Amino acid sequence: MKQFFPIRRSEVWVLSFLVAFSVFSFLPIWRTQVIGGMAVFGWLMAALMLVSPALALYVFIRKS
Amino acid sequence: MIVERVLVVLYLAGCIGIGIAASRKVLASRDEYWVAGRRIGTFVNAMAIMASLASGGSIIGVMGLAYSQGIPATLALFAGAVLGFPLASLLVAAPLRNFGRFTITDFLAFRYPSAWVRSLVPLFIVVAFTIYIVAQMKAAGITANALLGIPYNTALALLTFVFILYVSIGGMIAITWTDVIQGVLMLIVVIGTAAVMIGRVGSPLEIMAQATAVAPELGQVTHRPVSGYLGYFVIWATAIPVIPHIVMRVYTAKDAMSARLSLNIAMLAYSVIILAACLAIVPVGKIDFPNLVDADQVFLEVVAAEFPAVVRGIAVAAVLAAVMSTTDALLLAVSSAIAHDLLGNLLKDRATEATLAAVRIGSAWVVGGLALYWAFSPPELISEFYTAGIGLLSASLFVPTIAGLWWKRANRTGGIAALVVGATIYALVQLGVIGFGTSPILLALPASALAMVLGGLFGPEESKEMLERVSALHESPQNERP
Repeated sequence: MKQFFPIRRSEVWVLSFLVAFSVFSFLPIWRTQVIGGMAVFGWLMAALMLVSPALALYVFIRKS
Repeated sequence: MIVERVLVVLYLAGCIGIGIAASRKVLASRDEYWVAGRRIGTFVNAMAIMASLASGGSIIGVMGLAYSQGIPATLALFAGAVLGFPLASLLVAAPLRNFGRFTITDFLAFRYPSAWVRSLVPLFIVVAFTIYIVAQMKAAGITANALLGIPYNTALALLTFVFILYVSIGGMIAITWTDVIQGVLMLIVVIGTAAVMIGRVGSPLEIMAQATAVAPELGQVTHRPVSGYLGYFVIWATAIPVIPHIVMRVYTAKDAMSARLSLNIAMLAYSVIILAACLAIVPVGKIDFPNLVDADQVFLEVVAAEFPAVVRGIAVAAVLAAVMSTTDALLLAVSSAIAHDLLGNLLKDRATEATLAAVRIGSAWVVGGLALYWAFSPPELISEFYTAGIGLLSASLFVPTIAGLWWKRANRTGGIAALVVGATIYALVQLGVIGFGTSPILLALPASALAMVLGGLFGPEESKEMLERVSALHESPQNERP
């Protein structure tokens, strides 16, 4: 890791989580599963839209 | 339409008034003009960022898209941009704010000193954003024509005159305050409408259940495979951290932490608007107006059916505000690419501050005028073009920026290679010269990253002085390491 400038561990976790969540959301299986009238893919996208800024905010507010 | 027109005229007069008030402060200083003196507070900046991203497409377009192509696909398109903001706040906000210049070109030209970088980056920005501006202008003209009954060309000329005027004389301060007003207007109108729908029909889950009972396709992914949306998702997620009008907002923040917070607060507000539109307004629109020929009319139909003329007038102003708040930020970004990135360096030792101010104002009028001329008869597929333009910026700028901030082996060779390879591959796939079968960004970004890695590993090592300067960008009091 000496090739990179240091980044806080909590921020690495947030980045990893967001990338993993995105990949998970685009798995083909969620296209056909339906909850409450909408494909799970749609609910995952909605969740991503709220979770991603909220999670980053939480990390920054804790830090500050 | 008298009430609607009066409210819109009052709104436009307010924008001009803000521009004139701001001009007293900004015209004598580059810092004031481009980045509002770097003292914008967190919540004001958040609202301005939200308004800058939320274009007319975020109100009219998102609801039309959800109505015609279903809610999941629509959310997939917008979630990429939302994800881009946490990425920006984690990866670029603090070091770029600490860098403390004006544009993304400033950083790339510092990190990879080269005439290629100094000229190519602003060139890409001018091309991509001029197309983006034309698309927004077209939306403004169509909206004003449909909602106010004003002829397309007249509406276009009037609105364009107003925002060029307040951008050119008021700079970033005028944009910030008009964007705040525009953002608040959008939040009130969309969330207020959604709240009325929820009050009338029930919770969003009940609304969804009722709507999908009569129109199951609303909740399904039916129109294209999920992978078809991956390209849009990736373009916006990777464009946001490097897109010029957002990067300029980072520079306006009072400090690095404020920049990081404002990006994420902005996206929470933006997400609430998109989700309120998709999960409350559109389903009710589908129940009440199931057979609209023009899906983009769904929001206006709902508002017209539910509210009196005054509220309809405010809603019209909110839609125009959404268009203008994006267009003004884009116009300032293009002006900065010309007046600061390209001409500013040529003139800086030879021109007086008054001359530089004239160049700044002139750039805004020239770009705005050219975009207006094009918008009088825009290509039909302008929306596709501007997404392609944003993709070009993402393909060329994302890897050099992120690597330049975080990878110690990133060097001039790798930076220029990543910039050129990313842009070239993207353009070749987009134009069909290289057959790829899916979105060009999915090939261009890995190619750009590969070029950076090869340049970094096999090119000359970066100087110790440069590494120390980049390291200092990560070490402000707001960005302390554990």
